Amino acid sequence: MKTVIIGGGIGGIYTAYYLTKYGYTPNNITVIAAEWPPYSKHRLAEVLSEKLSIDYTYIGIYNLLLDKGINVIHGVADKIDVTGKKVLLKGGSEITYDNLVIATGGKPFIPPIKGVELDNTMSFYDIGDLRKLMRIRGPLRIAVIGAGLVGLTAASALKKMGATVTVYELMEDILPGVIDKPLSSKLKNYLSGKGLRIHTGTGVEEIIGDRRVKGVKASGRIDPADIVVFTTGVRPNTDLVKDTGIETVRGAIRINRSGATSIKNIYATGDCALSHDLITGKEVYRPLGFVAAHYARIIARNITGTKKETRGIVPTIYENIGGAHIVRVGLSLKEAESLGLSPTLRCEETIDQISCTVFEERRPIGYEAVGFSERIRNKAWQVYYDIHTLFS
Amino acid sequence: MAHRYILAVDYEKCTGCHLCELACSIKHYGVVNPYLSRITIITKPEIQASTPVYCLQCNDAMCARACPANAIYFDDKTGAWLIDYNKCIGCRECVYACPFGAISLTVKAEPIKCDLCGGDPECVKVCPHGAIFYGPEYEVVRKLKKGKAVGIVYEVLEKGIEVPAGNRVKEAEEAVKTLYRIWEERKKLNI
Amino acid sequence: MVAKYILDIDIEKCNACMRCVFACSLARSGVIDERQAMIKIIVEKGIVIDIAVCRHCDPAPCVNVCEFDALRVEDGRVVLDQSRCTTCKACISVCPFGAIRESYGGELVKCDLCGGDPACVRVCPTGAIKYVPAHMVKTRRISSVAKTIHEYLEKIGGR
Repeated sequence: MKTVIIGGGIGGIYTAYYLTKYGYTPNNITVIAAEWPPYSKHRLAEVLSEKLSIDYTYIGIYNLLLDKGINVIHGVADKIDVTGKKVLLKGGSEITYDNLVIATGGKPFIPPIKGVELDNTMSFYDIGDLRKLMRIRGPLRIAVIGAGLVGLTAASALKKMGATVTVYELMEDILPGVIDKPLSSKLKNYLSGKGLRIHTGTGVEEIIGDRRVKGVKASGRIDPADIVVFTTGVRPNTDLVKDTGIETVRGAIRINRSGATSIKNIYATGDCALSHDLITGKEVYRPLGFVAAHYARIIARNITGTKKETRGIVPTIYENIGGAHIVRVGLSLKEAESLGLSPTLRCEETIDQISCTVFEERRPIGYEAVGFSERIRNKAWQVYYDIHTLFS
Repeated sequence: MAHRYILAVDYEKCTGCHLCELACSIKHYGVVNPYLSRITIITKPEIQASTPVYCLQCNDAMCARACPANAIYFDDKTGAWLIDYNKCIGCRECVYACPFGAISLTVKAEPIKCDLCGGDPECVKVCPHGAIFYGPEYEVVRKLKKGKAVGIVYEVLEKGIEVPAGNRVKEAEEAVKTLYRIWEERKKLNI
Repeated sequence: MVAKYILDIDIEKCNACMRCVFACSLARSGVIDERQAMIKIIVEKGIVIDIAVCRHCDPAPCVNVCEFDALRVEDGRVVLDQSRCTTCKACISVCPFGAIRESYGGELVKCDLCGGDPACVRVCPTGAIKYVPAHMVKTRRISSVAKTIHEYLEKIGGR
């Protein structure tokens, strides 16, 4: 029984790790990785702001896996032959499999606006982007487009490097997918006070320049900029599964609660696949590291022969942006509404922290908090526990 | 509204025999071990005083407020704050929060506190000097103060604006006077 | 039965001398740097309001949420395996005490009790941090309460 894992990101590596943990012969595992050693995207911003070596982003687990004897192929998968059960690699070689795990990850989404093809426009997604940004010297004006978690952490890291950073967000609030209005407006005030320029409700219309970026045109005004960083979200990277018959929903691979795709013996996890929400039971696209690892464990269980189904994911997010703590457990008000619930929000405010609990029919379904002091104390665990006992 | 049941100790009657501690540990664990007891006697021979330290089942309990897992809940039936061990994460926050030191830890670092033995406290039964009382609040307070007056005041407070009928009014008036006198005396002692 | 040893913290005794923080960072990484330490004294307006250090909960929320197998309970201690951690920070979001911290290079750090001989305890001059068997915590708490009651009894004339 041979298992081939396409992708050397978190999903791929942890599938391999859990397979070896649950007793699968390491020699029968092959990982096809474009980037090796595996690295953690969560550490990119920190490495950038502290001017550390790229080694800091690597996840130490790869040594353990290599010692155990898994096979790693440096390369890119080109095609999957579902009937012949083999993966064709770029460069002509092929590899047969009994079980296939697709963990190709995501790709940064860049909005179709004029000027995105200019030099010095980039995304902030993988280690290549980090290398580009690390080469930057001198005081620069950087425009960050998109005020999500990645955008704001990148912006505060770039700010720490000495650049002048301006953040543009199309939505009315910052962190639109993570926290709700009362918290995000507080956070925006805080970050503005720290010297980060944030324009919300501002759609970037055009990136101006000839060959190189000269400025950003947003809401009719032109701000000068030397570099434009797009952090406008992630889309599944699933070009590989086209014409294979594997079912996809808006580009993301549909998986069942065992992590299996519509074709037998083919599994998928990570940013290329959908996941299940524990509270509503619906399929959602959440490009988060621990979602990948969660399904990696489920898949490893199923490949090694123990039937296991996940009950779903309760998102748990923490981020430190310029000294502010952002905590989110469960659903936010907006996300709950988009999943078809009719939630209510109850907020509490203390001197250094604002926290909100999201309720649905008096049952807690989410908690979010933003703290501005060094003290991180919150009720996230209570809500997390309640969600798990109430909804399963 | 039913009367709240409370556990109280008459410090003056306690001789420091530690029987309640043993009874408590036997009741809950089947072993004699003062470390597993939820009531603890501290003796100070110099002033011939023994002080039982026990859970007062506060109205607004600090332990329940401090618990990050929301594991301490009020049981209406017995009037006790109980620990839900399914929820408890063993962080000891309640131990530090309690102003009375009434929550202790077992050797496995599991918090234990008085649960009023589900409404039938063993320590009350075993106390040879009748120093521990358990019952409705007004009755216990009446016993402690050795007078009827306080009990009646509590009853009046309980029933709100409803004035007791007949000669009970007089009793209540006297009770208030007694309370006032106690308060005056305490003020003199500067406590 | 072997008693579980715990860090017994008395905030009232802490005078924020930072010795424990520096000792912790030295023991962990060989340098004195607040960010490397796994213990943090939080001072607000000159008053110590919190000492953020791992309580080694059991069952621990952080172990419960970790999908990477990086956190686990090992003979009564919650330990973080650096090599498996990807810094997803899910554990920070559920920790009620802020005991898991981001360190240099985005690495997460948490108290491992120095394998049974905590450096912070060794250097604490006021006895605000002690490393004691769990059931001994009771004695400290109670004796301070009993003291107050004894004082009261003495005042009103003893028994």
